[in-house]
Formats: sequence, structure tokens, C-alpha cells
Amino acid sequence: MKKLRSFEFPDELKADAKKARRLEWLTVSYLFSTALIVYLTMGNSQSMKTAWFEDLISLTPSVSFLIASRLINKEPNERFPYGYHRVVSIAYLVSSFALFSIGVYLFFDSGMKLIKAEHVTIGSIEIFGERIWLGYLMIVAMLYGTFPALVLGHKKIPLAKKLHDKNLYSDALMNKADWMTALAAILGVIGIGFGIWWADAAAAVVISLDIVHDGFKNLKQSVFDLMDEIPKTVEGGRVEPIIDQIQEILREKEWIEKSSIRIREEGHIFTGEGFVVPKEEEHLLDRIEELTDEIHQLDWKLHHFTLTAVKTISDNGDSSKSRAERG
Amino acid sequence: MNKYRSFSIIYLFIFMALSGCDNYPRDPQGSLKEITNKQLIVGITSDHHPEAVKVAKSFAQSVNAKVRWEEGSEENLFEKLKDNEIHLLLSDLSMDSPWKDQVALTGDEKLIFALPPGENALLMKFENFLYESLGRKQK
Repeated sequence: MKKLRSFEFPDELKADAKKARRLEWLTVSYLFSTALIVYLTMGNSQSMKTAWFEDLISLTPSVSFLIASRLINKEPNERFPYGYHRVVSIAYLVSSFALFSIGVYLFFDSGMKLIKAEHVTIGSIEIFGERIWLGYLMIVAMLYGTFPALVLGHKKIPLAKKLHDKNLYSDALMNKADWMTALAAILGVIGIGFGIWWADAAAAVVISLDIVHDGFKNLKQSVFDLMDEIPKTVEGGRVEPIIDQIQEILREKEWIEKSSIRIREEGHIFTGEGFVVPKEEEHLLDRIEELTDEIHQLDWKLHHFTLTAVKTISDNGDSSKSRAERG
Repeated sequence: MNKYRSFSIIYLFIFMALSGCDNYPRDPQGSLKEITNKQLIVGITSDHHPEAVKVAKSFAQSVNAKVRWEEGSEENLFEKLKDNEIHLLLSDLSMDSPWKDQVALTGDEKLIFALPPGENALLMKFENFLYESLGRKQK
């Protein structure tokens, strides 16, 4: 039996994987520092508790990324013969659930504020002998919540695509949720200053809908990934081109009468199997081994592909078949 | 990079908007306008601190308003404060009163005042008076 490829990423992607880890460490320390600033500026208020809760939940994708990135490099062993690749899918599930929860929480929290017509009180504070409106201080503090999160999120997206890391991608979306929430809060405080009591809550409701949308889309995809759905791209959720490429190769081979494949996603990588009905049995073992190698060359993400020669193929569970039906 | 630029423009607008405003923050219900040169309605319970009465009187004076006293139970007056029917509440209050999320509380160790929720111009004016003019220490 061939062993699964033991490395997670090919050499040319190792630098990117390292960069992603660095970005995630940076994210964790950044989120801790924003939590501290929130604590220092907002005092012991209800809105501070909400902000704390959000900060804590928004740590989920980056922390789960760091844990997963330690585990994936472990070799397959007797207990886990397929290796540890799936931890990435599990991390993705946890992260997208966190994103979805933040959106739902924000929606109900700010929706209730609107319904109850809560008028937000923002007092004053003395700094360096000057009495200023606390709202200004809150705005400055929340500016810190926008720009770094925006930059971090943007840096993660190309890496997530290259590394096929949906968890990293959902963390980029979490950063987006963070900076949009902070921006909405800034606009809200400014609005409150103009005497528009509902500005804060209304801005948060609008933002929360966007977060719920992102969260739900990814939560759905992460569950599908764990259910061995056909591999989908990190962004846009399209079927990975490797499916067509494998089928192309199988069709081209003269000695194959009929073929069928099924591929699934396990975190960063794909595994799967193919069944071929050979026209003749001559050199069959050599042909299968050559063909397996050729298919493995297609994409670094395809870690383990097994080809089996069979007498007949029934049409159930065939990736190509179900795709054709869907059009 | 375009996104970053639009961000800086938003920030620029924010600061331009804020620096151009004299009466900022404002009251959603216009309490401070209602009081200035007119009348300050002060809710008062039987267990208020005598010094609080002095503060309320001199605050009214500072905005050129007369004081109208409204006696009642704390519960009753808190409801009125929430509905903006009174402007200030004098009672035996503490910073962790069960009403703290529904009204505005401000004061020092000895004296705590309650003001209507979200009337930030009035609160700002009152805090300015309390801490700057009277020199009390903010808790």
C-alpha cells in the first residue's frame, strides 16, 4: 500500500504557509489589544460587555487556525491512518459557526435596541485637564478596530486561495466583520452626537445582515465539506477544476472502456478514488500505476488517489455523472 | 489599495463634520434647549442629600433657568426621568443602581445624580458644571 503524501504543502507553498501562520499570530495579539482598549475606554457598561463577547468570539478563526496548523503536519499513524488533514475542515466549521453567531447576535442585540428605543447615554471624561465628550474617545479607540483588521483581512485572502485554506478565508471574513462593525459603531457614535439616538443600532443591524450572510454561506460549505461534497474553490464555491482534468485524462486513455471517479476535500487536500473498466487486461498493473502517477501530478492538493480496475461500473455516486445531471 | 484610500476619505469627513459643530453632542429630545433660559424640572425624594439641592439650584442658575420641584417616590421619578418628564433626579442613589442602564448616572463618592437617558448635551453640560465649576471629583 502506498502511503499518503506526508507533507501538507509542496516546497513552493511552504513560505506562504509560514506567512499565514505569522499573520494569524499577529491577528491574535491584535484582537487581544483591541479587547484591552475596549475595556479601557468603555468602562463597565453593557456595550462593553457586548464588545468583549464579540472580541472573544472573533478570536475563534485565528486560534483554530494556529491549532490546526500544528496538527496537520503529523504523520498518519495506526490510530489515524488517513492523517490529520481534516482538522482544517473542523477548524473551518468552528470558525464559520463563530462568524455566523456574531452576525446573529449583533442582529438581535441591535434590533432589540431599536425596538425598545434605547437612548444611548455617552457622558464626558477629563483627560489632561480638559473635559471632553467620551464619544470622541470611543471613536478614536474604534478607529484602531478598523484599519489593522482591514489590512489583515486583505492579506489573508490571496494566501487562503493559494493554500486552499477555507479556515483562513473565513478568518479574513471575520476581520471584515470586525472592521465593518467598528466602522458602524463609529458612525453610530457620531450619529448619537447629532442627537440621532437610533444611529448606533441601525448601523449595527445593517452590518449584521452582511455578517450573517457570510457566516451562513461558510457554515453551509463547511458542513458540506465534512459530508464529503465534491471539492469546491475557497472563494465563490465553484467545483474545483481538478475534477474535469482527471476525467479528461481518463477519457483520453485508449485502454479504458468506462471510468468513474469520486473526490472529496479533507481540509487543504483532496483524496479520492477512480474505477476503470479496462478494454484489455494486458499490462494492467503497469498502466494503472502509471495513470495514478500522472493524475497525482495534476495538483499538489490531490494527496491520495487510488485507481481500481473493475468489470462493470454502476452509475451511483459518480462525480462526473451527478455534475452532468446538474448541468 | 483603492479601498484604503476611500477609508481615509471617510475619516477625513468624520473629523471635518465634528470640528465644524459647536453644539455637539446634541440631545435627541432637546432637553438642554428646553431648560436653558426657562425651567429645570427636578425630581426629589424624601431621602435626598441636602447638598444635592444646592447643586441643582446653582446648576439651574448657571443656565439661567428656574427650578420646578417635583416630589415623589424614587420608582415613580425614575419612570418620569426615563420618559423625559423631569430633567434631574435627587435621591439616595448609587452608581450601581438597578436603573443604571436605563438612565444616565453621574457624580462622586457622596453625591450621585440621575439624568434622562441619552440626553448627552444636557449630561455634558451638567458634568461640566459639576466637575469643572464646582470642582467635584468624578467617580
